[in-house]
Amino acid sequence: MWHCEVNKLINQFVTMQKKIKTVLSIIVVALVLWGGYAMATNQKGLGNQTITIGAVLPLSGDLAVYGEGAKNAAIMAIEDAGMKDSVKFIVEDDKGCAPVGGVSAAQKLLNVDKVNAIYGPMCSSEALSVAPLTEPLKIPMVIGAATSKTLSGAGNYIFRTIASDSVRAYAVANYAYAKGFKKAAFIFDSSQDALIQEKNDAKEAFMKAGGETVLEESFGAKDVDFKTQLSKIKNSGADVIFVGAFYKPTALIIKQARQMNINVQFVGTDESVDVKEFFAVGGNYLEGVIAPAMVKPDTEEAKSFKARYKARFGIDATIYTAEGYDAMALLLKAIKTEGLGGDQIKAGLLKVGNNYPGASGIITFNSKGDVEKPAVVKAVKSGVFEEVK
Amino acid sequence: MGIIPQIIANSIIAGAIYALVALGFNLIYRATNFFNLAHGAVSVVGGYIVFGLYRLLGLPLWIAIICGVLGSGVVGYVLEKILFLPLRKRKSSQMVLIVASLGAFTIIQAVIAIIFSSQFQTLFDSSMETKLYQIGGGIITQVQLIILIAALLIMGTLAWVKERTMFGKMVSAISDDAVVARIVGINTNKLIGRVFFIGSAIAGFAGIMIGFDTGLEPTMGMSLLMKGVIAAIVGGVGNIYGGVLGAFLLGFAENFGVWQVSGEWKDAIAFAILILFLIFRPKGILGKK
Repeated sequence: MWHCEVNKLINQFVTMQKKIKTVLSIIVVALVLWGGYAMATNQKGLGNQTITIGAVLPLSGDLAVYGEGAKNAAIMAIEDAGMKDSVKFIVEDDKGCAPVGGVSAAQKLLNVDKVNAIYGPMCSSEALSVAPLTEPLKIPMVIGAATSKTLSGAGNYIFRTIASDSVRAYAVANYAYAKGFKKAAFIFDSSQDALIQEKNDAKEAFMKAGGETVLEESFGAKDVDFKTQLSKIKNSGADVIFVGAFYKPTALIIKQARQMNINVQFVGTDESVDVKEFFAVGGNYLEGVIAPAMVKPDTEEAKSFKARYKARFGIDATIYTAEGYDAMALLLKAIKTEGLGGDQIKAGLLKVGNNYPGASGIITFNSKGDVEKPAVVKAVKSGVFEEVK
Repeated sequence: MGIIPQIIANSIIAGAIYALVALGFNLIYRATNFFNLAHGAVSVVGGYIVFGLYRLLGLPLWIAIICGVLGSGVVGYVLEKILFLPLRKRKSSQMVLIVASLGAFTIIQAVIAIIFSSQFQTLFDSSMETKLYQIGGGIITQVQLIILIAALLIMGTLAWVKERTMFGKMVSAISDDAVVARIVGINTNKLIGRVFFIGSAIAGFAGIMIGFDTGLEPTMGMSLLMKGVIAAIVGGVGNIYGGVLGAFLLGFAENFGVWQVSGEWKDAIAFAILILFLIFRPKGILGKK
């Protein structure tokens, strides 16, 4: 009796195992078929002109302020063009606008994702390091930031919707000289090409106007203590100090200087203008600081962009967003009119980027992919930048 | 007015900040004989606790600071109990402990960035008035003065504890030989737990003070740690006075370097000093005692 029961149980167990095996093999076959089908359709999709655009942006670290805005602007431009489904937008973090991070992000986008164009990078040193990768492949870079003039000659497929720093550096240096400041000291971040060029331009303009340069001091990208450089500047007898840095070091430098009783005029760069984090770091110490900025156009396009950006993301459009929006919008228009190849996109950009009424002003690309836009000078009054004459 | 008094003041301020980091680091090294790299991140935790409680939730400053100091102490203690202690029990090598502490560093840094974003924040409220003090021709702020006094006070207290109390003597015993210490009846693991708490709390205090002086960033832990470790090695790893001495030496070298050479060379100078010491005097100025 007992023996019989056990045998029965064993038999049942064996049949169950067989059933499980059958079910499992069906599942495996189904998975393989499904995988193969998915791959096949995907292949077909790629052949069917999916537009792949890669972005290289600073999304971590203190420059994330710039990167987040540029990312939002690009997403909005893609949506506005009605191309949300046909554009594959891949965003890579360059970890603080550094050339190393930019190059590895670009390599991934170029080699793995096989992008048709790159949006960014936002910093000039980084764009200069990425250009040697994109140029041989004829992959265009469209940028709404990266303001160094050296980038103009770095490649044939680089387009910027922002004017180079020179025009702003000249404007603010001439303004400072006209206000009666004669002895300038410069303190700048020597790790960023745009900031070095901007410092050189401001210095050139200030000296051309008749001013004197009494001291130049530099610092590294991650520095937060500038007291010794400031001690030297204090001792140099400068009556105006030009700070060539992003918003965080600029605010820290001015704060530390005020705490050391250095009460002369400070001049910043447009990298701090309308960045609310600038005031979070520097607070009341920033009163009276002047800085150059891009002219905010008073056009329908500009106003509508600002309102729609706020409605879409719930925050104010910050620095470089309008430029980024225009860069992406023009890129999509160029692809629509001419096609996806590097030379086609280039031809398209030159064609559509001609007297184009953008959110950041009128855009006309010259043969080097640059635009010219006017500059203004702004000063901090009760915690906001206001235009001064 | 000459420039030198201000540069001396700048060097002393920088030295005091490095000293605060080095003190906690050295204390933990003394008891465990391993380089706790998580120390840098624990320091940042203190700053962010104060940021969260004081700037975001609006609690009184003194409560936020106490929570920040105790909170970092607890983070250090928990790391010891759930990470380092099990590894030590398994007789893991120093290398494993260092890598584990680097892992802890990365996790803490990432968690801070997720909670508070990677944005640069400052504890300093623009409504707060900053008092300036003129000492011998150099100007320093109230926060910087507090940092300096705190560094010296903590050093004095640790030295007193080490020389005069049973706790201090037991830590010295573990440092000399953990096995013998256990044989004579010292509960080494309990003691090391306490040392982690105290060392991490000091680190948290450093992070809070830096948050007031300059500002906070999730990623600032690495440069803090580096400067603290260089100070500790230069002065003598595991030596309370050594860490402070190394910190001030580093502060002076950096700031006089920036004055005479150029700003970009600051970190290069710090690491050049480290390399020189590692080659010519690896036990540091004072050695371990």
